[in-house]
Amino acid sequence: MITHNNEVPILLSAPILEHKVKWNKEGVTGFLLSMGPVIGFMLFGLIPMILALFMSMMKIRGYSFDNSEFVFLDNFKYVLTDPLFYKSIGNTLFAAISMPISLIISLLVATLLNKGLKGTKAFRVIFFLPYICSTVAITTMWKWIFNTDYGILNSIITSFGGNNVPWITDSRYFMLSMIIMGVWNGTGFGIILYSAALGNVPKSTLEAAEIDGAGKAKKFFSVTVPSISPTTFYLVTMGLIGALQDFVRFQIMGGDNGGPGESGLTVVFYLWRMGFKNVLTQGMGLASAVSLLLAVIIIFITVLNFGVSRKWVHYD
Amino acid sequence: MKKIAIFLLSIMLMCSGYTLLGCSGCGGNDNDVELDPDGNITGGNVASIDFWGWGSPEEVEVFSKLTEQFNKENPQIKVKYVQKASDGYSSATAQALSGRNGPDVVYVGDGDLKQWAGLDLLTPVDEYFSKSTVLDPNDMWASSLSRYRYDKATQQSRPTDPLYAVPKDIGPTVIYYNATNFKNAGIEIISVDADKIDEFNSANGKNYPKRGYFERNSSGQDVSITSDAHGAVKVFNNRIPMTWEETVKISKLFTKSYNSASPSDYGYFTEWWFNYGWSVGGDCITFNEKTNKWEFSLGDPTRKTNANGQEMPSMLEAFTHFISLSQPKGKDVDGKGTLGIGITPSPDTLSTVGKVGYFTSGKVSMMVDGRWATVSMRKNIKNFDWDVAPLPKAKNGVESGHSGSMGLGISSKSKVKNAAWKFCEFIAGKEGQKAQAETGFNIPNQKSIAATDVFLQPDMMPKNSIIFLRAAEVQRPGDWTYLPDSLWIEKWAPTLNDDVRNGKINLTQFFEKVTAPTNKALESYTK
Repeated sequence: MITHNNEVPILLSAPILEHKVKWNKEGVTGFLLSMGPVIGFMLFGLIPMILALFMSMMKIRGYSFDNSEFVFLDNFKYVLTDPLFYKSIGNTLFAAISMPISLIISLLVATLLNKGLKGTKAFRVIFFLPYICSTVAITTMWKWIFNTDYGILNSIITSFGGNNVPWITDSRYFMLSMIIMGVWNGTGFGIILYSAALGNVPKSTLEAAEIDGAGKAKKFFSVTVPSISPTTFYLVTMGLIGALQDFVRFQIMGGDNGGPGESGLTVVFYLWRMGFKNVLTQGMGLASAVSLLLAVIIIFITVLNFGVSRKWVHYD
Repeated sequence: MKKIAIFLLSIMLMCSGYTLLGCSGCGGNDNDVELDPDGNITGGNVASIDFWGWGSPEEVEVFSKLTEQFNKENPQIKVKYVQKASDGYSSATAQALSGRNGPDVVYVGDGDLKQWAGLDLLTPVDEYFSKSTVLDPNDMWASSLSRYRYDKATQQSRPTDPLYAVPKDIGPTVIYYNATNFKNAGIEIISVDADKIDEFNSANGKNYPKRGYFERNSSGQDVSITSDAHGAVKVFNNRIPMTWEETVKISKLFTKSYNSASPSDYGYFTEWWFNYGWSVGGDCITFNEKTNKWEFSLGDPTRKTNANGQEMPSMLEAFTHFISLSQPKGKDVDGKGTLGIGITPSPDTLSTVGKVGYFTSGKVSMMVDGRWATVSMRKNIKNFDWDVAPLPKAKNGVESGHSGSMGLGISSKSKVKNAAWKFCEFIAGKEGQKAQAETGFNIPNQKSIAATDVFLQPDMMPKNSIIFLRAAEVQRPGDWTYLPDSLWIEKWAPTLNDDVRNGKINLTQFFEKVTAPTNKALESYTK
């Protein structure tokens, strides 16, 4: 029921229902233009999602539905009792540590860039470059940086008297290497968004705080940080979703086995191995079940994130 | 505006229809050549085939030229060679083959064969093969052909089972050794086959035994093979496989922890247990006829006897010996008192340099690898002589090891199977094999070509290339070919290659950790 200013209820009754849609030029154009994304979503979003739901309850051999059988919740039981699934979740969450680290670095760098120093624009471009580069190219570059004997990182360490570190060939260091790479790769996007957000922090509020005797640190934490909290929230949300779907760089860096001792086996990597490597014994049915479980995890974390955000995100 | 709207709508409908229908009409080709009973082209239409492969720049160049040559010689067939990335080739090709517009001819790795055949992605080529006047099965390496045979129902590869690909090549494994280090350490290197030792001795006034390596003191007495002491006379025969003990003995000369004057850090590197386990009749899995199940048997303690009735070490003993090679000297390998030998660098030590880099830079004096490493050796070794020798075997065991291979398969959905076969036949035939052999990368699939200078290349290293041919006869495919996919391997191999070989856990802990999950995974293959 919709109410009007005069508080007389207006029902969605006959006069409105009888209103005919006029297919004028504008209407047709608008309809057609809106159909693009709708068809795109249906083809590449909705239909695959519904298909994944059905597939998750089937035992599928190979890449077709021939000889597949309905197994109801068996795939979910298999996944939920597989220790490797929990290991992959642990690996994924551990790798996601790069997200808060890159957020802090982004904020620090963006604050420096907003000081109006010389060459700010050039620095912004340089910091943003990794974000727009191909993941494959970046990972290949880092693979060389992390090379134990010829990598630049170990050259620096050994020049200071340290020993070579087996960054990507030892399971103890593999994830640390991925976190370092993730921080480097994810900082540029944060810097750009924070730079824009910092420019919008109300000067009047900052001045008022200064008049009230707030120091630099107090102004930063009590005015600036709350003012840019919507940007932080956006970065946290998108960063978490992205981190939970991390896969390509792990595959390139660690190979099809997920790095030494499967230390880089993320959830999507685990899923990929089921659906594309062990097609006959595991297959698309199990992979679909994992994808749905991952979707549930992402939804849960995102909802939680939104819930908690009420306490620390300020839109005023 | 209306016209624009109709145009846009039509485009969108076409796009969505195209996607939904999976482009059913494109790419397909009903034109195929006709073949007579002998497999010769007799007519038909011009056929176009897509051929997917991957490889080093040298291999890509050879295949580009071969494709060009084939197209010239066969105007009725047009082959388009598509070079794919080696990373992810297997899964990308399997998906492409399952679609309607996939390639017609593809590289089939021996590890992919069972999965792809099981998914009906490949065409059985027995009929073509049996009629071929170009390919002679008797001239092909038995193990190269058998690994491309498979029966989906029984999950076995017997000589009568359907053939799903023709072997493009075979790559056996051998020991690459640093001959300069050997000579500098006073080791005499000879190349005499076991059956010619007597002839060699009488011609040279020697009294050398039929052994891969032995040492004698100045008075001519044999030095114990298990002691750390070395004799004045050291002889290495690169035609006879060393025993495990002989391999350890010679390796100690080139390992710093045993000999501080050693020119290399380590004496020996291997990462494969195959020649150890198979040499004593063991394996990582065995099929239990009673339970009708595969069982994880890497830790099988049962000792078998050889053809002469002599007892051999058990699979567990062979595997323990293999692991002890890479464990630090004196470390408890299995929690039961077996000590590490420390002649082999661990994967952590080897790191990203890789085994070939470790050998070419002189850090290890012997390294086990396949024929494919030869190209890199020739290119990168400038400051020392090197050669090849057979893999070690157990004292009473048989000569064994694994070889890799790549095959050429025809898509089950190809509409130009006759044309596709003619191309496979050309690549697997004499002309294709000769061109590939010249790169030095792999061994030709046909023995008659492999035994000629085309492959042996006497003017190039390694001089002892004949060893590859003998290895090709006795070696077999690796464990990745046993079952249709790698689920069962994922349960134990990552732990072996990281935790165990890097010394984080001992063998008892290893078996406790992986045996049950591996056996559970193995159940998936017999349901």
